[in-house]
Amino acid sequence: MKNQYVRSNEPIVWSLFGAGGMLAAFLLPVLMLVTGILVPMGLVGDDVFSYQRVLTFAQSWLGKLILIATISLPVWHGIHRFYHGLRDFGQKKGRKLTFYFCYGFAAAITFCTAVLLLLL
Amino acid sequence: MSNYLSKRKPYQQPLPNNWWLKNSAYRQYMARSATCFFVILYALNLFWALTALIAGEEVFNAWLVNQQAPFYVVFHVIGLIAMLYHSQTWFMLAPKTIYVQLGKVKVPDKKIEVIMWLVWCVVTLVVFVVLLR
Amino acid sequence: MSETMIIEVQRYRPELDEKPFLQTFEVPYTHEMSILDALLYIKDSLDTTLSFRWSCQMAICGSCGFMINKVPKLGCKTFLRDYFPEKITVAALANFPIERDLISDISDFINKLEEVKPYIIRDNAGKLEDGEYIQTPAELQRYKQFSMCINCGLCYAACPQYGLDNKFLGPAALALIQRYNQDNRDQGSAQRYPLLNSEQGVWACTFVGYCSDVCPKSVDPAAAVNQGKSLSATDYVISKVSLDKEYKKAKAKGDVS
Repeated sequence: MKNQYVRSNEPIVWSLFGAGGMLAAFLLPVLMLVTGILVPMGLVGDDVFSYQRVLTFAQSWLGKLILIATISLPVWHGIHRFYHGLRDFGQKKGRKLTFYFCYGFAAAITFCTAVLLLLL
Repeated sequence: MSNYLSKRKPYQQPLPNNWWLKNSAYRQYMARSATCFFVILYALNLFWALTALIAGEEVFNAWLVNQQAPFYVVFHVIGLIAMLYHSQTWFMLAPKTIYVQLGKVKVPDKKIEVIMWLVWCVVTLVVFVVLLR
Repeated sequence: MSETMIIEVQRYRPELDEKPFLQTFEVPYTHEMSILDALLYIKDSLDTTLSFRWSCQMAICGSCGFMINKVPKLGCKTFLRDYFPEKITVAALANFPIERDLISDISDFINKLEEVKPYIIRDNAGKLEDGEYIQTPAELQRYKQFSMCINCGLCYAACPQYGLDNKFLGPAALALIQRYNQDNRDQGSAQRYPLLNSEQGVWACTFVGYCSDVCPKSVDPAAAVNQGKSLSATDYVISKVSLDKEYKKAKAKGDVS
């Protein structure tokens, strides 16, 4: 019985997973610290995340680039781990549906983020 | 056609559903996989902030106040630990995905890992300074 | 005063048993004894019906792979002293069907090794008068680690992805692909890439990394597979922009499945 070896399309999602993982590894610790702990607990000045400051940032092209990367790539990364994690937990059926649900979600977030940023 | 002379009866050993609890390597792998929840949820939190930003100053400020709730702070504290675990495992594994040759020798995985941590320190410092300036 | 140690061995007689069970033995303990020595003692003196594979007793033949306290290890390279005085449980390798006692059916593993074309492939057969292939130490280093595999199968017993779906080519077979693809004497990469690129190839791996932890020869198959992912992703891009002349050439010649 000869095995059929068909080229997988996994490289697309794996590359996004890798990019997201790199970004998460370098940026998310400090971002979580600042945006999630230091700013809300008032440990740094109130103007760090003032509406004006964030708006100006999000309106600049550099800001848009950073925001689309920081929001969408981690989702691709996390969704990839989640999708494969489901298989690790024994999911055998409905893989195709799960695939489209998971990566569709990531694509939706990417698209919505892009649209929102273009609106600014 | 059955070979009635054969007494073979191979015993199948399927992997149990809780295989990942069985040894420390598997448990660490699952912990690493579990960090994905924090990655996704944090990104969605930022997405939420973006929608608030579009909606206007009042909505954005409301988001800022929301972030002060204990639930969110605790999420970010656990998330920070999860992200550091992600960084640690990522920098340990990423060198294995490439073969880097310098001159005649392969650059050892450990060296690449250390370089990544040094870059991490620089990036962390830079982002810290830029954000809090 | 001679010390003894308790060894629990997994038994399974297909003609007698419905499923495997544990049989307890008490073996003499000395500082130098390996698990294999203990099994040989059991077979010689306590129960001659115990079946297990072994040969070189020096971790080069790859025959004596077992689950020792649920960890895949070579019997000849694992020593009683590291467990004494606790009891040791020896079972057949995980993720393979058990044939009898500690003997697994590793035919799936062997078939996969054969499928990856594990030999130097040349475009044209060389002539003896052309002399030997020249390879620098740097060129050797590119694949040498992956060539150390003794086909013991411990990595397959360790790999949960293989356990979940044995269509996965597995760590050793994929490391073997790398061993040949990175060998500068070989010109057959294009023939092996389809296996690498498939769902059963590198893309079934989720980098658990346990295979490299258990490998008795430090082959680091996880690195081979994950280097393979980078190479496969690059190959994917190349194929989409139709630069893959080598692959098309091989396909035209009928060298690729």
